[in-house]
Amino acid sequence: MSAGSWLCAYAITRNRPLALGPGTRLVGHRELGVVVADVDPARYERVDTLEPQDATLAELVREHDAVVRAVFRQEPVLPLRFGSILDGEDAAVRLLRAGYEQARACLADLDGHREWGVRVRRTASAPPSSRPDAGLTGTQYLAQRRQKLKADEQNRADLGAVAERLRDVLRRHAAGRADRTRAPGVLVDDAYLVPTAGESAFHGEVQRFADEVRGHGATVETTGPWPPYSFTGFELEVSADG
Amino acid sequence: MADRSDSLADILERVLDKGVVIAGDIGVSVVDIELLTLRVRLFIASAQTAKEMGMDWWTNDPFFAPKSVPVELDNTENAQLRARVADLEAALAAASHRTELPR
Repeated sequence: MSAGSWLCAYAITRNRPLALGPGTRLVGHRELGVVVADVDPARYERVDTLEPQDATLAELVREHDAVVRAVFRQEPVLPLRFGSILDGEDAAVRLLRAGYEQARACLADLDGHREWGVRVRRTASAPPSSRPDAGLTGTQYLAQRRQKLKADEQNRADLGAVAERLRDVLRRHAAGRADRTRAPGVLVDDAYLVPTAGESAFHGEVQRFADEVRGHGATVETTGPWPPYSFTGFELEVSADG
Repeated sequence: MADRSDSLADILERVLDKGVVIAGDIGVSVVDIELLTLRVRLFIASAQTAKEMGMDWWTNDPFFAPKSVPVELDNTENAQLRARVADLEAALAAASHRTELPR
């Protein structure tokens, strides 16, 4: 390993002239290139022990995202995992050589697509009616409570069914779907790989479902467009002699 | 449905937990990806985060919290009790040591 020439690798893309931010450059090999920047590995020291909301980590992550997006605005892109540090430009070329066919095929598949996030989230349930138990007998109270629970349960089931229909419909408008880690109270948290030509139809469907979802005490929201982060979860194996 | 800025949590989850992984010996592991990934997943799933993001639906849900009475561990009292136990154990040890001396 060489000393003092570490490169942070952000993304694999096509080997074409790119407008890149200061400090970043493209290392090319045949039709592919990897976007890199000189980096001091010390910047990443102990980063894995930081809480995700730590400012240092957030800054590094935003930086990574900004570089990937800059490339994505111009060419299809394979985002690399955060903290991919290469041992100099030779290593960058070896990476491209070893993963050439896989990366090229994947770039071709992703060309003309963007990732959109769709989330269905329960909002606060309806507030309990004011002083519901005033003047009720115990039996009446229990009956009312049972009714309320039954209604809530029915609403949850209905909402679940609506969410599944939404997912089915959106899937038909997308080239791919990826499940993501779901936070509490979130019924759907999907990423869709949508062809740019089909984006308005995709969002039209989301819009069409919005009222129905709201009627069940939930909201549907979209995030994006994203570079295809959620659709590039594979490994490129590169050995020393590769 | 207007275009919104994507939240930091969304960016974190994508950048730290997704994307192509380079395996092999051409780089240096400066980041324990699995550890980071785990942290991010916990972060996203954590109730505290959910609360900060306004997703604390259960705190207002009468089914989960009919009359929520927060049960809190009193850390100060806990610490005081621990200190007393330590003192008593030390005193006990000293006492038994003394009684053993004459033998």
